[in-house]
Amino acid sequence: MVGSHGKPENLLDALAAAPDDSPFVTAWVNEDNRETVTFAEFRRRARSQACVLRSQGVARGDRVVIIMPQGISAMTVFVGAMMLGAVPAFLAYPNLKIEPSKYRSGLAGVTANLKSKLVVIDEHFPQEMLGHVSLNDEASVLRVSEDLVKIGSDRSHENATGDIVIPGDSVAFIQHSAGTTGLQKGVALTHAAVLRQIEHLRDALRIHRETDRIYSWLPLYHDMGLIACFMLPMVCHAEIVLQAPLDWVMHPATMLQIISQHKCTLAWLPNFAFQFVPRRARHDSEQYDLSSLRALINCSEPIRASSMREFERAFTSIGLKSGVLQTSYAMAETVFAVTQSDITQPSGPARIWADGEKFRRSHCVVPVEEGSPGSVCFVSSGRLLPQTEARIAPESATGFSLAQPDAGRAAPVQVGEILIKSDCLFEGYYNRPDLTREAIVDGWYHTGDLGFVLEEELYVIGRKKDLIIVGGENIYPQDIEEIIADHPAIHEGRVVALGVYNPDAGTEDIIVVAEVEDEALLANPAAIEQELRSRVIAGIGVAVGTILLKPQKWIVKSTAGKPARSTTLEKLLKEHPEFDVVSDGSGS
Amino acid sequence: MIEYILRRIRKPGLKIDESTPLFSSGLVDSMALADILAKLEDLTHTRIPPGKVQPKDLETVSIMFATAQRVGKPLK
Repeated sequence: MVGSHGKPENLLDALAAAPDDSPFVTAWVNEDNRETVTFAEFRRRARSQACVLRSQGVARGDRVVIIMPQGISAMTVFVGAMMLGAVPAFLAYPNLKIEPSKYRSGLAGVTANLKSKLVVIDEHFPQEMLGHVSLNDEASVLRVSEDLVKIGSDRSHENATGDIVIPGDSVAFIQHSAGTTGLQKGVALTHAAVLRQIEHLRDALRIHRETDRIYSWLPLYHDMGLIACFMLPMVCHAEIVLQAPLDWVMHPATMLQIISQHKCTLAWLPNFAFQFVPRRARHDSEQYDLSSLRALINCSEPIRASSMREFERAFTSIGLKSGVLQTSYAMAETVFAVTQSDITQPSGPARIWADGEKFRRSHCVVPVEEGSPGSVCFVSSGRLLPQTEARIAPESATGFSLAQPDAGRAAPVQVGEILIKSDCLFEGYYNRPDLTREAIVDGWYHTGDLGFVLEEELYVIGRKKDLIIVGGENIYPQDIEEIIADHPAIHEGRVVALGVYNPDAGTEDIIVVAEVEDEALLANPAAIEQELRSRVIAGIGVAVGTILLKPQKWIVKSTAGKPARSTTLEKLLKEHPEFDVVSDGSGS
Repeated sequence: MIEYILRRIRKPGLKIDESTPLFSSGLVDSMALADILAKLEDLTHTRIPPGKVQPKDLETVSIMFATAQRVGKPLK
């Protein structure tokens, strides 16, 4: 069904309108193992999955948790659930990239919050993990075997979904924000909001069904994977070539191989991947050709000019064109993108250089000449998508003082928390009205990100002070501090976990500063540090880069007697200048 | 491999042997494991099929070589 303006009313209408014979998904495992399904075949398989789900009692509004390896089966189960009016949610499948303790914690927390009717897993899902799936009395686990897929296929003639009307304002699915506590926040999104977002993206990226092909290794439980690399091609009737995240991380050159062989035109990557790929795939790259790419979008982490430069330098020789590297600012709460850089600009996203000292001391941006000594380079995330507003909230709580403009210079641009209003904004966190009230105030979503606006371009410089991002993953420092502070050698309540950018990794490192009970312990800190590191790993599955044990009263306290993060970080960077790499991009 | 891991994780003074837990101890994070896997493929002249390894399969140096022998495919 389409609306009065010729637009689909829900995501399934958009899928139904796709041409039968056009390829939709190619699941790439290796050179000898790949599968392509057309839109017609995808629809048929999704209907089959809907039959299977219905036979398990799934009905409109039921939550269906899908924990399956990345691939066509997981995608068809997802759409099959939507066909019943149910609300699917992808959760991460256990693999190498996800530490077991963190995974177990997340699985228990998220499934408890969703109160799902059905949890769909594949036949290889580890039995020991099932104990961490939270099920209520009416819920069940469906282990999808090859046999069951066949049963589903045999039932494909049944009219499983024909009578079900899916209103545009109904919830289409739930996508989760990242988190380490097991209390990942589920973002419930309506069909209409997702369709609006895709319309904005389609216009901004000038997507053409006949000529565009998207490459992705991005997990489907992440907004980049789910929206940009599943819903977007589904609605725009473009083709997606995807591989499993673990396959990519183990063999990064396969990204170049797939783009080259399938002539992919669009892809999204988090910032760290712009360093990860060239450093590990450079020697294998000569045989590939990236000239088909027209936009490779840096998204989901603060953007580093040096990372993008590294990628560009590594792969220009194999056809990477000028202006292909682009940027976006996105989050699950706005379905996906808030901004998109102008992909028609051959020079790529806007960049500015700012006085590094003023930025560090006053958290304001004073533009300077490109490459000035001590300058800081910022890369724009682009302009706001249509029907989107952004506001920079003053950062009064951090203790930074406002900088005064120098004579003859433009007034400094103040950095603050980015607040967003959008026609794609979520209505709340699933089953978490408490978190929703904190996040949305007077219609503005408080992103927790710091940034500034200059000449209508949004620059995102990092997370708000209490959040650390490692490899695109949000780490809440309180989770780490709580574990460290529990150790008898550590002075109670005197721990601060901080994220400091590591230019080698292209992402943040975690540094923990902790005061010891007895200064004699400082003579031989290695054993304590290792024990603390092991405790954090065991507790939340996070690897701490550096642990610095300090004497009492080293950590700066706020007037309320709590550790003051930003001031402690300043002190740390003064004492340990090797960690101060904020002047990324200066002079080059 | 041990020498490579020590160079990769850059923790001065650290000693590991073939049975030192790498992953569960926090010595190695997932991004370093990607390099270690590539090194393992180089040393064993195999390609480790993606999706067939879990952290427990790479927990120690001796386990990872056993894993390579079990699931690795000889390079052409």
